[in-house]
Amino acid sequence: MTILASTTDLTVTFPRRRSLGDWRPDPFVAVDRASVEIRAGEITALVGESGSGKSTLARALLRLVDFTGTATVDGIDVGSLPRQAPLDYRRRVQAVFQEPIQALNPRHEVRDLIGEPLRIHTDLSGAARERRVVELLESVGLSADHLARTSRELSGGQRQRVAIARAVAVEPSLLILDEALSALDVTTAASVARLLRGMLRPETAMLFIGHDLAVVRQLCDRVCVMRAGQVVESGLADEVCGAPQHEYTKLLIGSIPRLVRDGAAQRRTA
Amino acid sequence: MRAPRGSLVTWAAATVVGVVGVLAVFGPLLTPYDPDNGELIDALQNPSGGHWLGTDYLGRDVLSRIIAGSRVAAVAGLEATAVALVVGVSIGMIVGLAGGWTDRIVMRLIDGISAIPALVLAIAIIAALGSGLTRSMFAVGLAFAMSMARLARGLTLSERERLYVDGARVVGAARSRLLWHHIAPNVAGPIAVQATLVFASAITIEAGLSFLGLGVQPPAASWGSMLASAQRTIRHAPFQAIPPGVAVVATVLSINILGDAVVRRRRGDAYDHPTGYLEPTTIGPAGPASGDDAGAGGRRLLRAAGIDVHYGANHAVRGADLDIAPGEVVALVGESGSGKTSLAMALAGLLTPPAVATASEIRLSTPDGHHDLVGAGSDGQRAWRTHVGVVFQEPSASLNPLQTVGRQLGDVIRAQRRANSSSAEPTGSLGPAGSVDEQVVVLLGDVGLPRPAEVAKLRPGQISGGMAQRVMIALALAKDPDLLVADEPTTALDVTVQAEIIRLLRRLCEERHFGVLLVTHDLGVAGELADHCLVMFRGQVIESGPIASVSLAPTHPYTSALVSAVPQNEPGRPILEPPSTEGRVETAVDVEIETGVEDGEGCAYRSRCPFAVERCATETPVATAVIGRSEGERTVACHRAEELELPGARVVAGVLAAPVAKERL
Repeated sequence: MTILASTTDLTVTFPRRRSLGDWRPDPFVAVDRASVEIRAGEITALVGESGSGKSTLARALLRLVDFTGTATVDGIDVGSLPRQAPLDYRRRVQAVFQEPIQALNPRHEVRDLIGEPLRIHTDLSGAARERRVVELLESVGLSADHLARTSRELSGGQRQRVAIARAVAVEPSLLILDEALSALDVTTAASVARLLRGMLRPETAMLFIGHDLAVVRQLCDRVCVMRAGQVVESGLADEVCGAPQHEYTKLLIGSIPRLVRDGAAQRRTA
Repeated sequence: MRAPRGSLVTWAAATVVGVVGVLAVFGPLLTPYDPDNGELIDALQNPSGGHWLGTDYLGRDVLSRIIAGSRVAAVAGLEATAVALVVGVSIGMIVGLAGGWTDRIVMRLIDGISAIPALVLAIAIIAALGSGLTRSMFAVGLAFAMSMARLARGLTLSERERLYVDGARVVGAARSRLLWHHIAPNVAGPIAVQATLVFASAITIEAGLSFLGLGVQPPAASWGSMLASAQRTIRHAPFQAIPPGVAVVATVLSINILGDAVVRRRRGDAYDHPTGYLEPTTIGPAGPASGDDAGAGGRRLLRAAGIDVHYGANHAVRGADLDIAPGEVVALVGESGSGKTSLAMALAGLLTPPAVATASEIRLSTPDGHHDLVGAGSDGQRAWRTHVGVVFQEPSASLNPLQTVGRQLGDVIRAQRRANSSSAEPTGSLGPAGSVDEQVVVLLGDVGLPRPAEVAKLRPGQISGGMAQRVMIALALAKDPDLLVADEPTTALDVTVQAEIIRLLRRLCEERHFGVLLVTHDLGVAGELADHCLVMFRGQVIESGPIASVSLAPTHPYTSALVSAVPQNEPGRPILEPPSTEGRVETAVDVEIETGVEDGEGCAYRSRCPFAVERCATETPVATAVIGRSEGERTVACHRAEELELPGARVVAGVLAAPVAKERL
């Protein structure tokens, strides 16, 4: 399959806070020469713990932070774009963040939240835009009843669905899902995962950022495991999760809590 | 108590502001005399039927001049506030969003201008441009624009970091759209409050400038110039100074009270409880415990029956029963809003208003006797809490950031020792042996922290989340608790750290033989740690039993849905398969958890349940023993539990069963 987006030796550094006696501290390397490939028609996962640089890599692809190395999406060199990236690029890459209550403006109604990308990227009239918003709401399992609500008046799962509708409104080729399931209850997370998988098209791709390899194995096709800014292992999700090679991946997999632990059925409290 | 008094003052303030507003708008229609011209013959009269507030040294009616002055004050306030808002907010928000060098240079300029008092700056500008109300208020507005800019910049800086701004950037919003469409509505509240302060200050400054002769020019009336003329004749007509003085004070005070009321409304309860501390509610008695009496009482640590928790109209916990044996881990499992945390906090004696709780029985049986929480006063609750340790979800938020870990732990140890010596019954292992510092180190070592003596000297900001959670557990252990309540103890942690904390809690539970009440939304965590579990849905315990038995063979449709939604490390995509529907179309939407809607009949789960029948809508299922289970106490609250065959957990072959990172424990 064709590669839709890729990074080569992508590095992101942040300046450290100056302290007494250390006026020029070494910068903090959040992402360290990471090379990742995202194929069309697939969901690729970036997995790691807090501080592994997985979200920062995604923010580099969204052109929200500066970086060195190269990153291309749809043939566009991301590094050459200005920080206020052109609309044409914004249209190709969209994102859904972990906490929809924070990622959606608390003062805006669903109508404006989903209508905003349409207002920016299309010249639809008011009525046509509203029709499209309702279509989008229905595509994520909501309805026109939700148009006038603010994000606070929605449940966690509904908020995340609104965030997804907002992100897919302009039909991006790459959708970045930054811990998009982490804040949801398990039953809700499963239904949002079904929704996302159902939205994947052969010419589009998703980058799923998470910390739970069990979710990744069931939702994604490929996985890159990150630790301290570096990609330590990558490959097909089933292979990496079924037969991990790197010690860190083994540690992550060994840490997944199981529903039934060994010998639990026999163990009785004294 | 607070509300009526506060609102009375607020209403009085609103009335004053309203009256001044009406006078300002309709003043010329209401004045009994011409405010600017009088008969010299009538000069310096005291209040009378003809002139209610007397006349000034030129024989002009004071009441008419006060009314005319209210328009001057209002115009002055509005002009200065408008200038301050337009100039200040624009500058502040733009440099706040831009950041970098622009921000630094503009802010230094603003700091410089702010160093000059508003009144002095206004006088300087008047000196350059000439006197007059409009010019002087423009100058005052500019002076206040500096503080407004600083406020707007600070607010914008903090809003800029919020995720929704990134979200808008990603959607492609241009800078101006970010500012005016996204950030402005979210910073408007504090700026509006500041605007009321500017308005009030502008009125005093206008009065001051007119008093000095720099503002409104004679013969036009202004409260300030009236004070000036009253001052000239204060020996002959002392009353003249009172009406304009009262007008200025009452108006400014009222505007400030209104601004304060706005702050109060925005912050809600946090305003009245700035520390966030609320005295826990006591738990009232309910009817006698139903069903089985204390048959297995000998090995019970905690027995709780018939617990109800209400938040106003919201029935958060409905008649929950719960037993914990010593050394047993009982998990409360449910989604957000299921009432699991309310139930756990009730058992910890930590429910705070507006929660109202009742129970038939909550009894802790420790080696030194029985302790009852139902009907206990605040002393009884305090005694209860010395037996119950609590671990919260956010360890870093639960620790004081300014004190070292060792000091916080030492405080708990000292408090516990005081409690023990006052109750005059020294308890076993943690007697007064050893100094507090030694015990701190021992406890930190017990929770698996390497080099505990060094950790004790660190502040919470200097340790990782996993270490902070270990410190929280050490804090709970310092009480030598009989029961440990752990509210989502691993949710905020990374998976590898979560595995370590689970192993730590299991080890401590086996060593110390206390009971653990684990609150979690994650059935996996419950599976790894708990012996017994209670599944909650909308406040009701809908299924309970030994954890492995419940996971492998759930008898409630909700438990089955919960179990099959937990992702496991196994081939295939089971969580992406639609759940069993039995002929019903699956609604893609997770049905909203409507809190406090129906307290009436029927099963709370029926709107999501694929197996619901008519009976489920009319009759609330009660917890009954599951028939045909030899494994002991399993209960389920479902009408169709016996006839349904529900899928349970798939036993996953341990990919890597050997525990890793064992050396940390």
